[in-house]
Amino acid sequence: MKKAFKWFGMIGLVIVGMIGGKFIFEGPDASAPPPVPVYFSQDNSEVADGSSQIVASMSGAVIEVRDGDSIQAAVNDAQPGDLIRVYPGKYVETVYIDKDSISLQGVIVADRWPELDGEKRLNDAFLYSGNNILIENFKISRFKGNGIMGQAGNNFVLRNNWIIDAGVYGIFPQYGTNGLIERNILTGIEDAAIYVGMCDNVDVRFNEVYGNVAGIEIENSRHALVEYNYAYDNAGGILVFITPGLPIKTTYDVIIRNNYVYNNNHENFGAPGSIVSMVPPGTGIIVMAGDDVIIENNIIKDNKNVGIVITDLDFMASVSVDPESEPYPDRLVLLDNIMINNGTDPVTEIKALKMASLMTGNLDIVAVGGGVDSCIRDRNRYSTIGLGGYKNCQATDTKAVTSYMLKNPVPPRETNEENKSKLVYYGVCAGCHAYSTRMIGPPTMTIQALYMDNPQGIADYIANPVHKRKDYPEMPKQDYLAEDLRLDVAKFMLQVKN
Amino acid sequence: MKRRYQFILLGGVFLSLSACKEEEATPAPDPVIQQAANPDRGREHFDTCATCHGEDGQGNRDMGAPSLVNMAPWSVEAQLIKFRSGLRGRHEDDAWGAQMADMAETLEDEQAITDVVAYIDSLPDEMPEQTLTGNNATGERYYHMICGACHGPGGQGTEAMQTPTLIGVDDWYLQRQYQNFAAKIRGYHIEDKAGRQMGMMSHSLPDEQTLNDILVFLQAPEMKVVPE
Repeated sequence: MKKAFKWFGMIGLVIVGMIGGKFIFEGPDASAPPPVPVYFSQDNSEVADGSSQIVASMSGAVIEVRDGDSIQAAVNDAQPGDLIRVYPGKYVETVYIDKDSISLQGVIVADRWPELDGEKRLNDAFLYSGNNILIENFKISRFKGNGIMGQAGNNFVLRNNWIIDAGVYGIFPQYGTNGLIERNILTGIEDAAIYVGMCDNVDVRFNEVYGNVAGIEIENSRHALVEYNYAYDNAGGILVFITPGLPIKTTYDVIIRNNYVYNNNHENFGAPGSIVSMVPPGTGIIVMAGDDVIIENNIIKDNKNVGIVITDLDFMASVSVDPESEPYPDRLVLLDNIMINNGTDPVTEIKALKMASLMTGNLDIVAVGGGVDSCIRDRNRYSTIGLGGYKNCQATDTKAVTSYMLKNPVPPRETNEENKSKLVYYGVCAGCHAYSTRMIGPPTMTIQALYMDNPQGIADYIANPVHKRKDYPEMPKQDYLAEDLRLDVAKFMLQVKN
Repeated sequence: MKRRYQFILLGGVFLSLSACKEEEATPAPDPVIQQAANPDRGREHFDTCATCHGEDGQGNRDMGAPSLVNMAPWSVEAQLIKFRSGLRGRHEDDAWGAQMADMAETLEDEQAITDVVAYIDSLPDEMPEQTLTGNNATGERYYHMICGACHGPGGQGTEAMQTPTLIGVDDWYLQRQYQNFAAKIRGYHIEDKAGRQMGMMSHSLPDEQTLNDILVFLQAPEMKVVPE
C-alpha cells in the first residue's frame, strides 16, 4: 500500500508541477479559454429571463485588447456578435459603442483589473447606443460625467463593474428596454450611482452602492425589479421617482425587495438646486409620485431621517409644473420589512411632522401629500406618519415575479428620418435636461428661450460646449453625433413642450 | 465691476499721459471715438435721473423708479441703450417705461451713457426694502430650478448671457417687470434678444405667489451680495 501511495504521490507532484510550471512560465491568463458570459440565475423557474438570450447572441470573434491598446479601436473593428476582451491595464479613453451586439468583457487577472481612468478630464467611460450590449468586469474611475451610459440601447447587461468617483451617474441606462444591472460596486457618485432613466423591464440586483448622493434611482421607468442590493452610506438609499418634464411621464410597477438599506446618512453633495440635492440625507427609501410600487422584505436600518418616505411632487420638489406628470404616489404596497432604528434625527420638515403628530422616538415610514389605494401589511410593527388612509394589504409577497426582464430580446427602436432626432433627444439630451426641472443641465425651456430661433447655435454648442455656469457640471461634447443630426435634434429641442 | 471702471480710469489716465507725450505729433482726438468713463461728467447727467431715482440712486417707488445702486454697471448701460434706442419703453401699455425712454433720450451720446453709468456705480450700495411676503424655501427651489440657469446661482446675473443681477434690486420692480415680460410689454422688440428670452421664461412660474416666493428668496440676508 505504501508503494501505491508513493506512486500516487509522484504522479500528483508531476501534475502539480505541470500546472504550476504552465502558470509560472505562461502567466495565469495566457491559456485561459475565453469565459462564456453566461448569466447566473438565482432561481430555477422558467419565468422570463432574457439576459441569457442577450449574451447568448455574442457568438462571433474574440478581439483582445491589452494594456497600451485602445478599447475604442477594438470596438471600431468589431462586428456585431463579437466579444472584446480587455486585459488588465490603464485605459484613458471614452468608449463609444454605436453598433449592435457587442460584448465588452474585462479580464481580471490576480486582482488586476482593466481600468478606465478619466483622469478627471474625460466625461464618460462607456457610452453605448447599440442594442444587445454587454459590459462587465471593468474598473472605472475619475470621470466627470458617467461611468456607463446607455443611450436608447435595448437588451443590455451591465455587471461586475467597479465604479469609483465617476461623476454624475455611475451606471445610467437611458431610454432602454430589457436590461440587467447586477453585481456592480459603485461609490462617490454625485447624483445616482445606478440611475435607471426612462427605461422599461430592468432588473437591478446584487449591487453594492455606498458613498453616493443616491444609491439606486428608478426614474420615469416602468417594470423594474430592485432586489438583493446593499445600499448604505448614501444620502438616500433607493429612490423611485417621477421627475416632471421628462418625455416619459410615468413610473410604475416597481418592486423593491430583499435589499439591505442601511445607514444612509451621508451628506448630500449633489449640485445645489438640482432635484437630487433635495433628497434629505438620512433617508432609506423614497417614493416620489411613483405608482404601483411594492416594498417587501428589505432590511431598513439606521437611516437617521426616516426609513421610507412616500411623497408627491409638491413636498419633495415643489416643481410640479408639468401638467402631464401625475404628481401623486398611488397604489403603493408596503409588505413586511424589517425596520430598525430609523428616524432618530430627521430633517426639519420631518421633525415638524413628528411634532404635529405628537410623536417622539424613531420613525420608520412617512407618507405625505396625495395618492390613493395604497396599503400596508401589519402596520403595527412600524412607527409611521400619514398612513391613516392606507388599507390593510391583501397581498403577502411578490413570489410570482422572479424577473421583470422580457423572455426574448426586444428589437432595436425603429429609427427613420422623422423620429431619429426625437430618439436622440430622448436617449441623450433627456438624460440631463428635463423640460422645466433642473436635473443635471439647465431646463429645456431655458435653452429654448436662450436659442429661440437659433437651432444652429445649439448644434454648434453641443459639438463644442463651453462651461458657462459654475454651479452646473460641464456639458460633455456630443460631437460623435453627425453634424446634420445635431442640427435636427436642436430643432427638435426647440419645439418640445413639457 | 467697480474694479473694471478703476482699470478703465487708470487706462484713461495712461492714455491721457500717452497723448500728452505725443501731443505735438498727434492730431486732436476724433470726437466720435469714445473716451474713458468719467463719473464726474456722469454726475451732471445724473441730475436728470435723480428726479425719479433719487439723489443717491436708491429709487422711489412712488415714481415707479427702482434703486440703481446695486445693479451691475453693464446691466444699467444695456438698459439705457435699449431705452434710448426704443427697444424698451415704447410699448403703448408701458407708462413707466415711456418715462424712462424719454429720459434716456436726453443722454446725447454713448459717451454720456458711459459716464452716467460710471457715476451710478460710484454711488454707495444700499439694499432696498423688502415689500413682498412669501416662502423663502419655495422661492429658493424655484429660483434654482427655473431662474438660476441664466441669472446665476446667487442671482448675480451674467454679463456674457446678458442676464442682469437680481440681488439688491427692488422686489416690486422685479415683480412688475416679470409681469411686463409676460404681457409682452417688455421684450416686444425683435432686436431686444435678451428681452425676448426673458419673455419666453416669463410663463414658467405657476402663479403670482411663486414669483413672490422667489423675490423673497432673492431678498434674503444671505443673498445680499453686491455684484463684483
